Amino acid sequence: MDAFRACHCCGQIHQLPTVQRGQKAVCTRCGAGISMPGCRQKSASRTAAAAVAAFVLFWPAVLCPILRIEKLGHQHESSILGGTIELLSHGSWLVGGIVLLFSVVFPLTKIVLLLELSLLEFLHKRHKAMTLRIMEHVGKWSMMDVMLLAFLVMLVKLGNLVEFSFGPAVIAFIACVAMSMVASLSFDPHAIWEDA
Amino acid sequence: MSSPKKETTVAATVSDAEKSSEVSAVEFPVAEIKEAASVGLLRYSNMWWVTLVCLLGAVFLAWKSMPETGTVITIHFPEGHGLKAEDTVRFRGIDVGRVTSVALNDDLSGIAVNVMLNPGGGALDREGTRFWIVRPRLSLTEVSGLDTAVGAKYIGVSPGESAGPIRRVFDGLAAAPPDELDYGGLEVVLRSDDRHGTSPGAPVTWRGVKAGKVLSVNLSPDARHVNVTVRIDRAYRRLVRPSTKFWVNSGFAVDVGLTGIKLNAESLATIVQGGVSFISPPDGTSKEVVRNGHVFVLADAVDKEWLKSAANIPLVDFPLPETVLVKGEHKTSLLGFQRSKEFTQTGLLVSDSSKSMLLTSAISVEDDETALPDFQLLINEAEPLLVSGKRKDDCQSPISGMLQVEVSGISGTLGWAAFRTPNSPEDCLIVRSAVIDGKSTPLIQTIDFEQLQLFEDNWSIHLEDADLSEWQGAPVIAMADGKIIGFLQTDFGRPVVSIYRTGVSAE
Repeated sequence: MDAFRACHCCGQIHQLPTVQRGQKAVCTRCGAGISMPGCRQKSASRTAAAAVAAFVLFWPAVLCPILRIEKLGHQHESSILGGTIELLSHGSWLVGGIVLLFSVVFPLTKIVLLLELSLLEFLHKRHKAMTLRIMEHVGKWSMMDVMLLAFLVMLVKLGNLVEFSFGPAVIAFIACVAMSMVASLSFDPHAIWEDA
Repeated sequence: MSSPKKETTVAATVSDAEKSSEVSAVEFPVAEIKEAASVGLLRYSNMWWVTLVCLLGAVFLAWKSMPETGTVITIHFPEGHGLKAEDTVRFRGIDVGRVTSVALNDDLSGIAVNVMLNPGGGALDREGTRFWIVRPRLSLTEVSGLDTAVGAKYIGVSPGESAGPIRRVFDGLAAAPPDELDYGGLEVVLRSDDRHGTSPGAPVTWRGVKAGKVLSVNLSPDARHVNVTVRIDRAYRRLVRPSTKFWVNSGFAVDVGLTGIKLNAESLATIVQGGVSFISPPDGTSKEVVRNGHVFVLADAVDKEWLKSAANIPLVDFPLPETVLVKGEHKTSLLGFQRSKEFTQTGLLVSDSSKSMLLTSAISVEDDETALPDFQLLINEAEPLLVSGKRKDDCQSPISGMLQVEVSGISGTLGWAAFRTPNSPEDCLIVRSAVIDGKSTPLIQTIDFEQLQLFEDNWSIHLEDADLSEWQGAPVIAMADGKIIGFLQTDFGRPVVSIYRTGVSAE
């Protein structure tokens, strides 16, 4: 066991005493929990569970119709992926590429990396650390949640002009966003360096 | 060469850091130990249940968004009018299907439209179903399909027999059938020497009131006549007799005299489109029925004699039952204030060997009141008859919402034999009497079976432009045989037909 541990809340560095089962080490300055036996597995397990859920929900969110727009009798139904491909095929490479990258590729990468970190315990610590760094960079650019906001804006702005309804993908989408947030929140980066 | 060098520097930094931490180790406090809510034996997080729920949800959503599969039919049209995939098929204003693809025929003779009918959309894939592409039409007599002028085109449907054989390939119509949603009219052919300015869609009028329209104007096969096909609306088909005269009333007559100019025209539509009028001279007791396809002569002008001798043809073939007027006032109390309100409603006298009964719609009384208010019966021009002292409980009628009051000193001409229990909504009319020029005259209002809808035990009436509040208690008579099948009632402000059920006469 590492002898020293920084408090993730206030940064105070502690010497870590031996902690028994049913006990936890807390920071002397701010009182935040620092270490707890068994916590590592639990945290990994929770991260894995949430990441698997997010991974499962990602596909219906991206492939199922998310928007149904009816404008003057013209009905149009599109999914996130379908809409992006349509954008690309119309020649809007920039917009299509941005949407594809930030709404499909990056979120998926983030989920997959979380899965890797939490499920594959045999990986080398250094490899895990690199994965974590990549994930943190990618995570900044995974903009799934922003899209939700865009939908809301559309709902408010287009209310009376066109008939506008959400498809089943919206539920999957919201759940996927929530699950990937839970997964990245419950992931404890210290766990990478902690021995089992 | 640079990479090993870099590695060593990295290693050096790490070892430096370790060294420095060792140096200052003593200065760091020892973390406190606290009792924790035990993580217990849970090596695995409860979160996995959430994962399971999410998995089920994802499967369900994917299954739900699978495209629904319905019957696929192919319709051939001569012209596409800009129809596209994803356009809809509509019947009575709602979507019943969707165009999946539009393709040109191999021999370029037309287009083939593949349509997926919604599951449970009823029997539209049957022999006799007609399809057409709805597009905007604008004429003096008709504005239709305006929603398709800017919006998407759609395919209109007129279903065939629901029990007919199933078909998958149809030939679409080039234009909407003129008789759409207008069944049961009478189609006759008018033969004339000249077109006289008539054109499809022009009104056919009886005494100036539109009673039908011109469907088509064609040259006869031998090119010696013009055949004008007209459709008379169902409500007026009884006006057409074998001796009926049809004439053209297009244009307008201008009379220039010393007193000024007199201009005579039927309506704007007849000026532009031409119109046809008809009238039936008296033909005695002839009950001969005119069938579809009957050929009449279309005169180019009206003969004054026809108008003079025009018969007063009733729209019904049977004698109308004589109704009575029930007049009185009932007391209501609102917030403790008593006030009386007059009511007038229609009633019907029914007599059998022993007694006479007045059937009329219920008179509202206070809940705690057991007596009915006194009321007067007005029959034709006779003295009003006062009915008083009746108890509410004695006057309940087995026909829902009706009163059945025994009256003496008067007898009706109707027996219970004039009643019949209807099976399903049918064409009917309601009758009441009104005093016009001091004479009691029966008034009728026809109700199509399509305007009736089964509502609990009774039928609710959907008339858009008629107020039926005057018709409270009026008998409802079947068009088919003249039997009384029920009474008109108002149920929470909505007109309903309280239907007569057998067994009532035994009461």
